Amino acid sequence: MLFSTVPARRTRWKWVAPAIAGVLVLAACSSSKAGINTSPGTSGVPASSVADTGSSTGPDSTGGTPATGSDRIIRVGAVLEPTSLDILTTAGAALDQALLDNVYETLLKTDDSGDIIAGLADMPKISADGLTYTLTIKSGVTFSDGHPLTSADVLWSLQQVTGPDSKSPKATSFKSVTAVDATDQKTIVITLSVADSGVEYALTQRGGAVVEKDATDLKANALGTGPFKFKSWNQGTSLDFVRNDSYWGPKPTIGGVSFVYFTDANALVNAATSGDIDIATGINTDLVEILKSDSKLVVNTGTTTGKYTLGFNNTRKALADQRVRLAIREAIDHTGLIALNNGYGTLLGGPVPPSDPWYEDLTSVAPHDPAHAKQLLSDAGYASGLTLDLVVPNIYPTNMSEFIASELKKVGVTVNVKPVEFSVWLDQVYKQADYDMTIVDHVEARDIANFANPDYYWRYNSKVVQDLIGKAQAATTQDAASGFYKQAARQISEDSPVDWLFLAADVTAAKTGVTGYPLNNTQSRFDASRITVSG
Amino acid sequence: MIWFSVRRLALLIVSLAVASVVIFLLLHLLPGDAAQVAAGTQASPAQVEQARHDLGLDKSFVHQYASWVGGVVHGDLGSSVLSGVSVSDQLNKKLGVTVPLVLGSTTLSILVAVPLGIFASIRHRRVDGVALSALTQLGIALPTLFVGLMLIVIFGVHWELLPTQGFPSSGWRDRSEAARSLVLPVVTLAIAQAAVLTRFVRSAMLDVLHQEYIRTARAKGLTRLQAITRHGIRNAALPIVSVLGVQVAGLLAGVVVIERVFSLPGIGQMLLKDVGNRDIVKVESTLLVITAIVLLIGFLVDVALRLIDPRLRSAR
Repeated sequence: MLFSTVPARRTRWKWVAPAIAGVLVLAACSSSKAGINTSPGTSGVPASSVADTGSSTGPDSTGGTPATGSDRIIRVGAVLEPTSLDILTTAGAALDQALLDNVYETLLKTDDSGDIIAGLADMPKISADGLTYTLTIKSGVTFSDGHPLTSADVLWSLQQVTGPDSKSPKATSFKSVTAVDATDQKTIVITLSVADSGVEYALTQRGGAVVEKDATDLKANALGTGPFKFKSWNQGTSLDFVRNDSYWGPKPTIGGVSFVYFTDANALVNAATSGDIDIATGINTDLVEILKSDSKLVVNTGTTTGKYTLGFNNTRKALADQRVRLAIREAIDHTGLIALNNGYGTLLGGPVPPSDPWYEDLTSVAPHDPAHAKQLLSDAGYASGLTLDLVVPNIYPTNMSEFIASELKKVGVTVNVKPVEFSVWLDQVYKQADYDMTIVDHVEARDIANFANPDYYWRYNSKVVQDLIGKAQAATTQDAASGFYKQAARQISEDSPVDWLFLAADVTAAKTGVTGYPLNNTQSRFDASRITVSG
Repeated sequence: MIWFSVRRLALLIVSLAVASVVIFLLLHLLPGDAAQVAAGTQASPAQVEQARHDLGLDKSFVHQYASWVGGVVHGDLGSSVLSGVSVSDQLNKKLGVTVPLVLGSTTLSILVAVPLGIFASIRHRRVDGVALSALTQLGIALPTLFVGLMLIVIFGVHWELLPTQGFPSSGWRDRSEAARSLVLPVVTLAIAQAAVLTRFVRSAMLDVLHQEYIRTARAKGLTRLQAITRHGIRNAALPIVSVLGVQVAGLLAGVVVIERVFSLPGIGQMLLKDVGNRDIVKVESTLLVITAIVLLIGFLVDVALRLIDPRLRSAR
């Protein structure tokens, strides 16, 4: 009994029951409203610049009392969390960002200027025909559990990626590889079926990461040779690493790093301003001003390889015509689009970002010229107008698609914007190519070869481009490859199978005194080993 | 009462079985290809098919349903297709955030709303009663998102009194730290909840205050307060308990906005992300567990109502 009262007499109560029932109905109505009324808020928050910027350490108070100097755990706030830690099978840049260079290391690496340098192995000796790569593994390297790195580990790791049952998202970068052998404790020989200038670079990426041969439970664990040791993963919260004190290279000066994940762009910024995190990465450009006005924080703007792309379905009747595609490109004021993005971003006229070795400024191929765009549409037989669907993953800010729609309206193209969930986008657009136009941020470096794949979701089929990219891939020197890639890039831009909206900027904020963190996001990885803290 | 409980529990199990079919079908009818999501954008078609096979998505609906429900019946909620982590482990962790959040805000809102509601009903014609009523309207109208952000700005950023983001990764091992990180979210939720509840308490009490038995109680010499505490509250409790049940049930799955604003690793956030990732088994099992909890709350509310009101006990 909750209350002690005099038992009520039944007769007096008869008419109360309907009243109570009425109240109950009312109650049900308004309280269900109380439970749900919060949800519109979620969509109200711009989902930030998609893809994979940052990792950051967040609110979790890992190592107890954060001290200065060598015990300090640096907390890095990020917006994209990995779905699994399995570096051999899980796709996605979120994983690269946290694990590569920190826990796992790759056989080769790229330096700050993008050149390929030695990693866990010395630079490969390549045979004159370009078909045999001989790699010598560095001496004195151990995994963080003390087990020394041998060619057996490298062999096993490479086999997981290049083997016939590979589940690696990087399997296609090694399609020319026919065999991998360990000839002794320190030597690995990779044999190719055709010369492939992309293999060296592929070894700097996920496919070149070395995992201990006997590693278990890779989905929820990570054990590599890197400067940090995996400590714990609290799904939905943080990924925690501590310094690997037996690291073979220069040891980090910080005690560890925690990547803290925020699904909400505002929450990330709040965490930065309230001091919950040391570094915030992948900041939504709408929110940068708040951080800039905070004297305790330093805001940096760096470059990325994120190419915001307006993809065309090149097999749709109107869009199969190059004039229509070019017209759409010329109709859009890309400078205005960047302004809409609070001024963050760079004009991009082709498929290659400035940090790739074969970059060339192609912005003059399709300059903003609505009058010419109208002319092109009229030449193509669409003087009276044209209607196209724009299928957009709902992770991108809606003002971008609205801006594009209003620009195209000016030249007589009516755009129906259709937002979809990303997983729906993957199926409908990416896999089945059931769309007219779409927007995606292509974040990968050196991904021009997508344009040589006629089955890619743009369904762009150019023999000339396929031939040039084939030659570039088969080149035995990087210079020769670059030459062919440049030609291909120009040809692609002229064909306009897509429009390059802009190159995304990487906005990072850090507490004053925290330095040495990556300022650019051209590799989708966040090397925390050189972070230092003063004061 | 026992017979009633048995019948209600049987009904609960049948409801769960029906819910499991609905959940399963809804998730499998969702557009979007789980295998493609799992394999990623760089996977070859062969790799996508391999992923489909590994996830068991190439099997028939009946087979997939049977293997899921079969596991659930044996206490195995399955594991995430993406991270491989067992769903029950994940749920335990997430419920450890969401349940204290929901219970905390509900308790706080009861503590605030019951006295306020009674006060507002007694003084419903006075200025202070009307003002209180208006204030509850405001509390209902303010979006929790806004309230949450305001609290963050005031207590987290300006005064730096309380943590505004996240939950300790060690969970409840550090109790004071865990509790501190839930203070602002609990207050945010409680404001909206208390506003609704105050109005219900007020209207329920108003209803009761005009009953003849209250007048009779007064005529027998009880003071107004005595009449209210001895006869009023118990009668007014019926609609309030019902409302509370619905509120708590709604909150369990509905706190996602608060979880986002405060970066709390709770069940709402997890569900939102898993649906986006098409982590089907995990979503199915999570929804089933939430459904079970909601049904259980409904059951407890019914039992409570019968404990409070003898008339319901004899009703069939």
